[in-house]
Amino acid sequence: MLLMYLLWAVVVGGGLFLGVGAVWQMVETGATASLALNAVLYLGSALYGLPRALRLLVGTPTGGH
Amino acid sequence: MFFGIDLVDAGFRGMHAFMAATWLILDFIVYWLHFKVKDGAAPIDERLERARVMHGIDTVVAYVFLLMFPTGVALAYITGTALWTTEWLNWKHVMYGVIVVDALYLLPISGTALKNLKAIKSGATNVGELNVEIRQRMDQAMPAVWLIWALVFAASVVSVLNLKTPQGQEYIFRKTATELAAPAR
Repeated sequence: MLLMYLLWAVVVGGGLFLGVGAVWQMVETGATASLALNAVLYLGSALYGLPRALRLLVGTPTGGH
Repeated sequence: MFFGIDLVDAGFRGMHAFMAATWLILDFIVYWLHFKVKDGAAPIDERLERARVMHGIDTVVAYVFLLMFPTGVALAYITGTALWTTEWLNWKHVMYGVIVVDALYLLPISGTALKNLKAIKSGATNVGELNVEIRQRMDQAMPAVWLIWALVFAASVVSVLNLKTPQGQEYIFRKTATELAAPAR
């Protein structure tokens, strides 16, 4: 169970941290390929993981994996 | 400081490198184990035992993969490597991001072999079907597993090429922009 909490903490928390940071950096200094890819990958993962993380936190069956 | 050694710096560097090495080695062991697990002709007890070992190792790999993130961010802070403005680190994060997506793809596949083998052991009647599912799921997972292995290896190479000295945190193998701009002596 700890593993699942850690998984969604990294996917959602880490994804938002690096994704939002990459977007912020692009606003500040302009876009680069690496920053754009960071934004897409991490924000995408965070958005994918957010409902699953919330279901885990409130204890509702996930119905999937 | 302990006899001139910055223990926090050395500790995080060592831990991060050790985790990458552990990840690469354990992934290879899991790859080696999977051949017998998906072999329907092998004895069920042997396959089940291997699947249990694989599952255990996979759990360790999962912890290593997830803890790479906080240790990596801490290491960047300790070594004065700015997040988002350091280009090589951004590319390393792209690699880790692909691994995250890859792991999310593998998540529903993992555990199929162990679940099916337990069912076979407990006398399931659809043995052929369960074996086909094990083989299909493992064959489906392998390209993703190899991609992770290649990305961890590539990220390790990028890290080694961008190593910094513990004193002053200057790059060892890379010249700074100031050094590149300075006329050669």
